[in-house]
Amino acid sequence: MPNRTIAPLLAFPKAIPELPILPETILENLSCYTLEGGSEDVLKIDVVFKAGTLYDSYPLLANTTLGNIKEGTANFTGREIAETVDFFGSQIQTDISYDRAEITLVTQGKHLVSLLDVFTDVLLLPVFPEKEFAQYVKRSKSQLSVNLEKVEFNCRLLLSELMFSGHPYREQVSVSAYDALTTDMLRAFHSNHFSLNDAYVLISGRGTATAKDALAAALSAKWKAQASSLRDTSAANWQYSPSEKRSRKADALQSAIRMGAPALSRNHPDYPLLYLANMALGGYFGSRLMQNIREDKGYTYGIGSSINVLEDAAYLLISTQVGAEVTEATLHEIRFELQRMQTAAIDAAELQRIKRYILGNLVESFDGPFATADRLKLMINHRLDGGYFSRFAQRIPHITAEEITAVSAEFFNEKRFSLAVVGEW
Amino acid sequence: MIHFHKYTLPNGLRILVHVDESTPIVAINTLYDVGARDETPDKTGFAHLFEHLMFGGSIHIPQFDTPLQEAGGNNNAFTSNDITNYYVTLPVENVETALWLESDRMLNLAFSPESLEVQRKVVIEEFKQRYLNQPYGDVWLELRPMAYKTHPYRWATIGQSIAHIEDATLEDVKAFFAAHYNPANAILSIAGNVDPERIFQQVEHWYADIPAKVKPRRNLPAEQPNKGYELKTLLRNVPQNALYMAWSMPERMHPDYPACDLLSDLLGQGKASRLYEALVKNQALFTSISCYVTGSIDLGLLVISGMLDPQTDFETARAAVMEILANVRQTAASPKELQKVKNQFESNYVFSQLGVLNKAMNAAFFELLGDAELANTLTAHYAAVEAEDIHRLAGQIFQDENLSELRIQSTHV
Repeated sequence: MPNRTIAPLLAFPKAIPELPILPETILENLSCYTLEGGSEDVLKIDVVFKAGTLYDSYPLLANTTLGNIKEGTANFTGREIAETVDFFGSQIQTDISYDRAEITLVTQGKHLVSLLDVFTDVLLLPVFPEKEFAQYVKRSKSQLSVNLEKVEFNCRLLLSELMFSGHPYREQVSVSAYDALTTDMLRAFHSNHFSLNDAYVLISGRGTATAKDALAAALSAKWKAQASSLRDTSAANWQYSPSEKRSRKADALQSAIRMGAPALSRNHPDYPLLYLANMALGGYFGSRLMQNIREDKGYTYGIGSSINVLEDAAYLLISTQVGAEVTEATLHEIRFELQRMQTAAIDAAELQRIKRYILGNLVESFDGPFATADRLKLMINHRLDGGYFSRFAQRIPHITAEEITAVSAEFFNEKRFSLAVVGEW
Repeated sequence: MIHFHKYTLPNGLRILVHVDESTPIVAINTLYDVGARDETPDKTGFAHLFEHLMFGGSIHIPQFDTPLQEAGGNNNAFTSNDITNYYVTLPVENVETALWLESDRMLNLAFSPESLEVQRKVVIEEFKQRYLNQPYGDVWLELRPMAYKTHPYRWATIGQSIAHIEDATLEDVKAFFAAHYNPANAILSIAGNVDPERIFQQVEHWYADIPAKVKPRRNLPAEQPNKGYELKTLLRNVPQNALYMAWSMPERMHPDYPACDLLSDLLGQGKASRLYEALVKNQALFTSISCYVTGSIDLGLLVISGMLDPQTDFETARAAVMEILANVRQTAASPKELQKVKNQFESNYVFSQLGVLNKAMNAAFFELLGDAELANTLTAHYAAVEAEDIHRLAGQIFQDENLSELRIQSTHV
C-alpha cells in the first residue's frame, strides 16, 4: 500500500538551453532562421513583417491589408490559391499583433515543393482585387458587429482608449472605418510594410535546411529590390495618466472588467521580479486573484493578470468577466489583492511554489520545434540575446520575498491603474 | 507509427504508454468513460459540474493544483457529451507527482460542501459567459433538443438549465462518483521520455490498491433517425440572421463514418469548399458558412451553419444550401476533389498528433473507441473511401425527415 499522505520528492526541472540566434542570409539581405526537430514530417515557415496595427495610418488598414493578401496575386486568382492550399491539406495562415504581421505556411513536408509557387506569390505579388476586397469588407463588418455585442470585446477597446489615446498602440475599430479604406491604400501599405527589407523568415520542423534552399530559390525568381519606408510610429506627445470609464450594456448578465497600468519590458533587469510578482497576483490558476475571486467567492469562471510586453511599451493587464451583480464586489477584491501584494511579504511556501511553476512552464515552452520557434520569434522581435531565457531561469530561484514586495509597491499601486467596465453594475 | 505499450491492472484500469525520447515533458491523460449522455433528464450538467469538483481535494490530498504547481506542472480537463477527460503535463522528472495526485482522486474525493457551493457558482458564471451572455451562444442549447428526441444528447454538457446546477446536492455528487469514477471505467495514457516497465511499476504502486468496481453498464435509449423535419425560429438581439441545419448521421465507429466526415469537408472545409465558394464567394448570400460533423460516439450530427448576408432572407439562403446538397446527391465527387479532402484529413490528423499531450489524449480516446492502434490505422480508413460512398451517404443523410433547422432571426434586420 502506498503512503498517500506523503508527496513524492520533487526535482527542479532541467536548465533552459541557450538558443543561438544565428540566421543565414537568403536573397540579398533577408535573415532566415531554422529550427530543426520534431517526430512528424511537418514544417512551418513564418515570414514576419513590420506591419502590425502600430503602423495604421487609418484604422484597420494593417488588418485589412493582411486579410486580403491571399485574395489574388500576379500569377494566381484567390480561388486558385485556395484550391492549391486546400488540395495539399495545408494552410497559409495570417496573424497580426500590435508590432508585427506574419504570413505562415503550415504543411506536411512532402507537399512543400507543390506550394512554394503560390506561397511566394502571396508574399511578394498580391494585387488586392476590388471584388474580393468588397466581399472582405462585408464579411469583416459582419464579424465586427457580432464582436461589438460582446462585453469583453468592448471592454478591451475601452481600456485601449483609456491607456493609449494618442499612441499608435491605441486600438481603434468601428464598422464605419472600413468605408474609408480603398485597395490603393492597401497596396501602398503593402509595399512599405510587407517589404522583405524589414522582414525575417523562420523555418521550423523537419527538413528545414532543404526547405530554406527551396524557399530561397522560389523567392529569388520573383523578388526584385524595391525601396520601402516604415511609417513613423513615435509617440512623442503621448503620456500615460490613469483614468476610469464605465459603459453600460442593457441586460448584460455579466460585466467585463479590465485594469491596466504601465509595466517593465523584458530587457529591464527587474523584469524577472515583476514577472514573478504578476504570477503571484494573477498569472496562474493558483494565483491570488483566481483563488480569491473564483475559487473562494465563485464570482467568475476565470480571472487573470498578465504582463503584455509590446516592442515599445509594456503594461500590466487584469481582466475578467463576472456576474453583473458582483461587479463592485469583484473590484473591491482586486484592489484588496493589489494592496496585499504591496504590504505583506509573500510567504516562503507560495514563493517556492511559484518559482517551481515558472521553471516547469519554461521547460514546456521550449518543447518541440514549433514552441521553440515562438520563443525565438519573441527573442528576435524584442532584441534579446541567445542567453536570455537561460539567465532568466537562473535568476528565478534567487528572488526574495522582499524584492517581490518592493516591485509590487511600485507596479501594483492602484493609483497607476486605469479601469474599464462594460456591462451592468 | 505511434507505438503503445498496453497494460491492465487487476482492478480493471487500462494503461497506455508511449515513449518519446525527444521531449523533457511528460503527459498523463486520464479519460473517464462518463459524459453528459450518462446524466438523467432531471439532473443535467452534472458530469461537467463534477469535473470541477475533481479539483476540490481528494481523500488524502487537500488540494489538487498546489502540489502540481510545485512540480512545475499544468493541468486541465474537459467534459463532452461522451467523456470526461483530465490531463497533466509536467517535467518528466516529476512524473510521480502526477500519478500520486490522479490516483488519489480516483480512489476517493474529499466531498467538501464548500467546494460544491463555490463550483456551483463558478459553473453558473461559465454558463452565462459562454452560453447566455454571447451573441448566438445559446444555439446548441436550442438545437440539441430539436435533433435528439430520446437520446441524452438532447441536452448540452453545460446542462439544460441553470436550475439543474443550482439544485445539485452533495448526495448527488457522491452517487455520481460511486457510479462512474473507478479504475474499470478509466483509461490512463502516458506519453513522454519514460521507461515503459519502470512507469508501469510506478502506476502499479499508486493505482493497484484502488478497489475494483463493476464498470457501469450503459443502457441509453436509441435515437431513431428520420424523426421528421423540424423548424424553429428564434428572435434574438444579435446583429445578423443565422441559419443552423443539423442532419442525423452515423455514429463514430460506423463503417460509413469516415465517408460522412469527408462529405462534410467537401462541403465546408476551406475556402475552396463547395458551400464557401458558391454561397460566400460567388453568390454572396452568406458572409460565412461552415460544415462539420459532431463526431459523437452514438448517433451523430452533420451540421451546416452560416451567417446570412443582410440582403438575404431565410428562404433564399436555405434554398441555396439545398441546391448545393442536391448537387452532391446527384453527382459524385471528382477524383481531384476526393483526393483533396483525403489530403486535408491526413494533414489535419498529422497536426492533431503533434506533442506528447495530443498523443496521450488521442490514444486514450481511441482505446475507448476500441483500440489505441486506431492512431495508426485511421488514415487508411479514410484513404479507402470512394467517391461512390460519399455520393451514397449524401443521398442517405440529406433527407428532410432527417433535418433540424434553427433560424436565429435578428431583431436588427
